[in-house]
Amino acid sequence: MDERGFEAGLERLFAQAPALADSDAFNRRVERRLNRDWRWRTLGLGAAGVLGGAIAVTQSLHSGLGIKVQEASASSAHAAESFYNQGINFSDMLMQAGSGANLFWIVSGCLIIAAVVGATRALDQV
Amino acid sequence: MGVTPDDRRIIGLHDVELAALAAAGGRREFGELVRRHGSAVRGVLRRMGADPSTADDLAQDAFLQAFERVAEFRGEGTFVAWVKRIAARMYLKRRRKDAILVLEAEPREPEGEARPRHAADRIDLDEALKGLAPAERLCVSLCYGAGLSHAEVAQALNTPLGTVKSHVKRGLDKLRERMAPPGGESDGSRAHG
Repeated sequence: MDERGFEAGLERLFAQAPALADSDAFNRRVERRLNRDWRWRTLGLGAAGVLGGAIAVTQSLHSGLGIKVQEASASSAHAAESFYNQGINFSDMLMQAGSGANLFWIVSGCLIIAAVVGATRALDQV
Repeated sequence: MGVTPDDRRIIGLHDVELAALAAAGGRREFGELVRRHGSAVRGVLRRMGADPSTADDLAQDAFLQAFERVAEFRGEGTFVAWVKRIAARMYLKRRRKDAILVLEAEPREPEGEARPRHAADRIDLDEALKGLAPAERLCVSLCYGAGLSHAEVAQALNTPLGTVKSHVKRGLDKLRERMAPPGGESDGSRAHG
């Protein structure tokens, strides 16, 4: 047998899986570990989401985000008012659509809902 | 437990399709890949010289790592070859960690080695591999079983490329001699690049 033929034959032999009596048990062990790792990961991600959401809400409350948003809304309203000083009064619309405080509570509410959804999904997976 | 229509659907899928579904979080699909290729991965680790228990542990770890990284599998080679490479690298890492990976530049012959002289002495691959020195067996299995190139083996073993080539050549010569077909000539003197 020439060298290439022998090496090709050797590769074919290596590619043949040996018949192992305990292959079912091995497969079950891998699947069990797979499922276990998956549960832990989902739980970890869910917990991290809840924690992150809680921290975000807390930080938002402490940083005076509401006041800053209100100020930003007011300044943008002024800019809009001067830009469209001959046209429609957008500043009134913006101020009516959502005051700074309202926007703050909407954002906070969304964060809390996201955290609760994350926790629920994590518990469902477990 | 009976086979459900979903089981039948999964069984009918190609490896590449199963891998794509596994990349989207499909653990059942990945389980089918484990069922298909578990023995092959365990087998290549044993052929490298791992004892059965270590081979099984490493094969499990290799499949779990493959699941983590399955999105990287693009179907360019076969799935089983990809997992075998992961398993081979894990085995080498384990051996380095255990400080038992020492390749001799001039390996000794295994003690009590009996060279088959007749066609009747012809033996299968697994038996033939047992007659190789550990370094030869490891290098041959890494190249022909796990599909690593000589350079990759040298890098993984932190060994000169020439040493790896030398181990592979000696190992191949011995295998050729032991696995020669009945009535066929074995020519162990042929050089291997």
